[in-house]
Amino acid sequence: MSLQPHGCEEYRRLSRRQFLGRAALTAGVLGAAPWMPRVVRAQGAGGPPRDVLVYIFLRGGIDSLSVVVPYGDGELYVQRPTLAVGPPGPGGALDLDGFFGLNPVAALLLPAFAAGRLAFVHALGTNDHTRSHFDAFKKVEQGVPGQPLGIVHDGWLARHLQLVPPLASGPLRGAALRSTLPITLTGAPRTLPVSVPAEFIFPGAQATKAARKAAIAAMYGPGPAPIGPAAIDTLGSIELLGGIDFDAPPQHGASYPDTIFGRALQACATIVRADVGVEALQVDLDGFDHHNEEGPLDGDLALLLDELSHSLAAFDQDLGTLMDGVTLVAHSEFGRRVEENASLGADHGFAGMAFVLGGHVNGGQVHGTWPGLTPAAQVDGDLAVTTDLRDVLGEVLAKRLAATDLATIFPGHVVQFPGVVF
Amino acid sequence: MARDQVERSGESNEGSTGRRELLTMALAGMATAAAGARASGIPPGPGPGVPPGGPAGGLAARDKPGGPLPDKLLRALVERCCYGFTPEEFALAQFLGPQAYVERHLDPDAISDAVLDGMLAPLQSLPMTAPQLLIAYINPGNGPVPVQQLKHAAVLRAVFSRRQLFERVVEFWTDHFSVRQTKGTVRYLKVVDDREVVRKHALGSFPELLSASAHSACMLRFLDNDTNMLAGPNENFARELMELHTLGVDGGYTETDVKEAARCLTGWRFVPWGSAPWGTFQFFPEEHDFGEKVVLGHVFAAGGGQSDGETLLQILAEHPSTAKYVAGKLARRLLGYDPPQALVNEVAAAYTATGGDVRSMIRIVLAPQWLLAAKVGQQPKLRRPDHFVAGLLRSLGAQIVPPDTYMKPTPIVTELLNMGQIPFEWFEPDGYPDNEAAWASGLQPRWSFASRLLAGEMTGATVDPTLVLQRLAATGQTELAAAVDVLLTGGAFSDLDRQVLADYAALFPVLDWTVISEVLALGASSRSYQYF
Repeated sequence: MSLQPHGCEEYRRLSRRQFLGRAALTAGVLGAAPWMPRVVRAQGAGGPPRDVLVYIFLRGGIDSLSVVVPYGDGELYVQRPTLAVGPPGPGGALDLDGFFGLNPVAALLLPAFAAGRLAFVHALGTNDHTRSHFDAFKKVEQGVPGQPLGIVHDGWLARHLQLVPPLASGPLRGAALRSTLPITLTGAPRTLPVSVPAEFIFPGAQATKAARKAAIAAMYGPGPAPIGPAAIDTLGSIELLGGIDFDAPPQHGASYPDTIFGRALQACATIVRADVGVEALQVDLDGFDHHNEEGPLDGDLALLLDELSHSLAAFDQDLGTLMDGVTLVAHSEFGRRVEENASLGADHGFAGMAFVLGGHVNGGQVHGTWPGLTPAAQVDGDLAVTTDLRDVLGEVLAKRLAATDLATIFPGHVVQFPGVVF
Repeated sequence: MARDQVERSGESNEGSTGRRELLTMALAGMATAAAGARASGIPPGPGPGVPPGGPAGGLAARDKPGGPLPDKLLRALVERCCYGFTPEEFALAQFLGPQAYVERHLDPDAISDAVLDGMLAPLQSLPMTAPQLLIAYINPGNGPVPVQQLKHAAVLRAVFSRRQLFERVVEFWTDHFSVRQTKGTVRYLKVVDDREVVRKHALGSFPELLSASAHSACMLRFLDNDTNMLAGPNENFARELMELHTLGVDGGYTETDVKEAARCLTGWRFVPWGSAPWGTFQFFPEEHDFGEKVVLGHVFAAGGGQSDGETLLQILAEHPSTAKYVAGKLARRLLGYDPPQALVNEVAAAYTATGGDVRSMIRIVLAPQWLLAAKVGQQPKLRRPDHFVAGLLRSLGAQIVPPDTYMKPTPIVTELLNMGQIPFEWFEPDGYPDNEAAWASGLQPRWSFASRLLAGEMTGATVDPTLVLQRLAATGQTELAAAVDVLLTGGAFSDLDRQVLADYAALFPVLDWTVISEVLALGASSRSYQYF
C-alpha cells in the first residue's frame, strides 16, 4: 500500500516521515498491514473437496406442500380442497417424478433439476416439534433441535468453520449478506455481516484513506476478541471486496431479479467467481409465513417463490461449471400444517423441505421417504419428518466442505447421510 | 483537491478556520457558557441541538491534559443514564451528585422537553388511535407512514429528549416486550402500544406494564393470541409471556404450564375490524376454555372466563422467578453484562417489596456502590447501534434534518438498518440482543456513519463545525486527541487510542476542520468509543 498518488507533495513527504517514526502506524505505509489480504490457498489439488456453501434461510416456514406438490397423494386434495396446487395439467404442477410436481411458478428451476444439479428433500425437519419461529430459528441455527437451549452458544456453521482448516489465507471465511450475523454464523472465525458487498467500503477522503485505515488498525489490532479481530477482518474484507467488480454482468446470459435477494445472490456468485477464500455465504429470504391468503399460484407465496426460483436459476446459470465447487442449500425453520385453514393459508407445521443445488448434488430427484398426508400419518396435524435436516447439512459439510467432526457440529445427533450429495 | 489548497495557502474559510482563530472562538464561547452556568447556579446547556453559539459545557477546559482527572464513576453513570456522553449531562451530574442526578432522571415529567416536542409535532400518526391509524394509512399510497414515523420518533427521542434515562428504559421495555412492527396490522397497533403500554408504564409498576402489554392488541396480534381459542389453542403468547416477559426460560415452569397458561388466555383478543373501536382489548367468551386449569400449581376453577388470564398475570407478576429475571435483565442493561449477584438479589428484593416498582429497582442498579462493584470501567458494555448513533449525534450537537417523506426509512433510520438495529423490527420476540458478540462484527457501518456524518455527507443529519469546535476547545495537534476524547466520552479513551489519534493529527501541519473532522470520525470509530 502506498499513499495516494494525487495527494500533494508536501502531504506525502510529511506523512511518510512522520509515519515512519511511529511503530503503530508504520505497517500501513510499508504495505505490511495486517489486514492486507493475501489470499493464498492452503491446499493444492488432492485434498478433500472444499466447496463454497451458499446457505439460504427461507424465513417464516415455506409451505412445502405448495412448492413440491405431492399430487400423487390423493389426500392432498382432501386436506386442502382450495389451497392445493393441482396435478400436472393446465395450471397444475409440473411433473417431477410421477408423484411430486413442481409449483409452476418455479418452472425456471426445471433445467437445473433435469440436468441433475438440483434436488429437493421433502418431509425434512428435526425432532423438535416447536411451532414457534423464534424457538425454531434458535435451535435450527444453533444446530441443537430437540435439546434445551444453552448447550451451545454458537451456530452450527460457525462450529464447522472453527473446526476445519481455513481454505485460504484471506480475511473473510464466512459472510452473511445481512446487517447482523445470523445465529448460524455467530462465533465463526473471520466472518462478518456484509449487507451489500459492493458497498462494503472505507469512506472518507481518498487522500487520507491509508492513514486512517492504519490508525484504525492500530487502535483495534492489539485488542482482544471479539471486536479486535473483527476490526482487522473488516479492514481486510474492505480491501478484499473492494478488489472485486460487483458491477460485472452475470455470465452465460443469466439474469437475476432486481430485488434485494436477487442482487444478494448475484453478489454471492461474484464472490465465488473471485475465488478469494470465502467458504460460506448466508442469505436470508423472509416472508414465508403464509397464514392468510397464501396464493401459491398467484398470491404472496407465488411472488416469493418466483423471486426465489428465478434467483436460484440465475445463480446456477451464472456460475456454470464453477457450480462444481458450490453447494447451495435453502430451507425453512419448519413446514406448514397439512390441513388448510379458514383464511386460505396454512398454519405453522412440522416437516418442510430443502432445495439443494450444486455440481455434486444427486439431483433430478425428490429425496426422502414420503410419510403420507392422511390424518393417521400426520403428527399432531402436521406432515411427519422422515429426513433430519442435520443429516442433509451434515452430509454437505462432510462430503463437500471437508468436515470430519459432525458430532461437534451437531451435538446430540448422529448424522446419517441421506445421499443428497456425492 | 480543496484540502490541499487550504493546507498550502493557509487561508481560512467557513469550512477550514485557522487554528488560532478557532482557539480564540472556542475559548470565548466556553468562558461565556461556563460563567453563565456558575452565576445562575443552573447546569449549562439545553442538551444537543443547541443552536450554534449557544451554551456549551466548560468541561473541556477543565479536563485538558494536566487538569484534574474527570470523575470516572460519574462519567460511567452519565453513560448509563443517557445515549452517550455530553458535557451538559456530565455537568448536571457533577452539580447534583450521582444520586440526585438519577432522581432527577427518574422524574421525567419534571424535565421540560419542549425542543423534542416541537420536532415530534409534525409526526401526525404518533397520537392517533388504532382505528384512526387504520383509516388514515390503509392505502398503499401512505401505508408506510406510521411505521416510519414511529421509527423516526424513536431516533429523535434518543437524540434530543432531555429525559434520557426514561428513553433508555423505554428501549429496555421495548426489547422486553418486543414486537416486530412490519407484521401485518402490528404496523398500526405498535404505534398505540408504544404510547399506551411501553412509554406510559416505563418508569411505573412492572405488573401494570405487564398487564397493559397482555391486553395490548399489538402484543396479542404479534404473538398470535388472537387465534388462541378453545377449538384450537395457540401457545405462542403464553409461552413467551412466561419465557420472555416474566419467569425467564429457567423460571421453573413446564411444557404443561405453558399449555395450561394458553388455555387461561383463550379468547383474549381485541375488537375486530368492522366493530368499534378496532384494536381495543376484548374477551370473547365463546372462544374461551372454561375448564379447570392448573398453572404453576395454582388451580383455576372451572367457569372462570376472563379472570383466568387476569389471575395468571397476577401469579406471574408475583412469582419470585419474575422478580429475579426482571432484576437481572435490568441490571445487565443499565450496568454491565455481568452484574454482581448480590446486586441482582437486592434489586429482586426491591421488586418484591415494592410490588414491582421500576423506579425503586433502577435506583439500586445505578447506586454508586454498584457502579463501583460492577467494575464498569474494566468491564464495559458494547454500545448497541442506536446508542452509538444517538450518542455521537448528541456529543457533536448534530441536527437531524426533517425528511421529505415517511414513505421509506428516514436517513438515520437507514443507518440503523445498516447496523442491524432498526427500531421495532427485531424478528424474534426476545428483543435486540444485549451482548457483545451480537454486535461486535458490525463495525464497517459504524465507521462509515461516523465518517460521512463528520464529512457533511449525510443527508439526514448535519454537524455544525463552529459548534463542534466550541465544544472541542481544540488547541493544537497534541491537545486535539485528548479534546476529542473528552468531547465524545468525557475522557474514557484508552491511552493507545488517544495516542493513535494524536499521531494522526500530527501528520498535518494545519489543523483545519477537515483534519479535525477526520480525527473526530476516527475517535468515533475507535475501539474505545464502541464501549461505555
